[in-house]
Amino acid sequence: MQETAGNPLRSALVKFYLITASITFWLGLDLLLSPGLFRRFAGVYQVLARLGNERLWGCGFIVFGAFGLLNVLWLTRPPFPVRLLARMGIAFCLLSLALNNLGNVPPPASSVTYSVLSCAALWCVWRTKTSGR
Amino acid sequence: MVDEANNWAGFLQWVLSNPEKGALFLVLLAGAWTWIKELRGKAKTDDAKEEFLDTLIRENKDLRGELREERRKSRRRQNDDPDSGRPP
Repeated sequence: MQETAGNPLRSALVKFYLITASITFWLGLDLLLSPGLFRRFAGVYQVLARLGNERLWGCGFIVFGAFGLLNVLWLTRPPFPVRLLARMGIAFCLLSLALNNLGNVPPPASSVTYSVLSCAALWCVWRTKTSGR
Repeated sequence: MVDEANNWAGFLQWVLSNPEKGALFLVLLAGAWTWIKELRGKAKTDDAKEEFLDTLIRENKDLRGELREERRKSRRRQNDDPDSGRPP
């Protein structure tokens, strides 16, 4: 992980990127390894299932998660567009889940978690700088 | 007012019924905003650097001119009074 000492906020942000990228990656792996997950939860994921099955969403999540993880763990600082795209990918995954869950009546408890994570991920996109991490 | 509220409710309904499109829209908006903000910031920094360099070059030129003038005056003074610079 790159040097972030001396700036507590930046250090916290790097840890947050690492956590969200890991969440996205493991969610993708879970979707790939547990076929039928979308049908199991009483139609919570029926909107996402309309666009593609678990395999498609799982692959997408794994790709975005792995890209985000590499972006944080890479020894040198990646270029600004690469960092921005990686964060946008993570934010897209989490926002899709959050909006999908919020669209259910009543929304499942996981909506709160996904909403907070997606808001923070969007904030991270907005916080991306050409200089620095 | 009621129409506006209905429009917003309709938009929210659309976003919630199409989560992937809503997410894509929000992410692209945030990304484009960040990109433009950073490009503008970079352009401002470049302009400031250029202005600073111009000021330094101008000051350097002025100082060199002053120095040249001082040397010319001192040389002229020495030519007018040849014994002034020599020790007794």
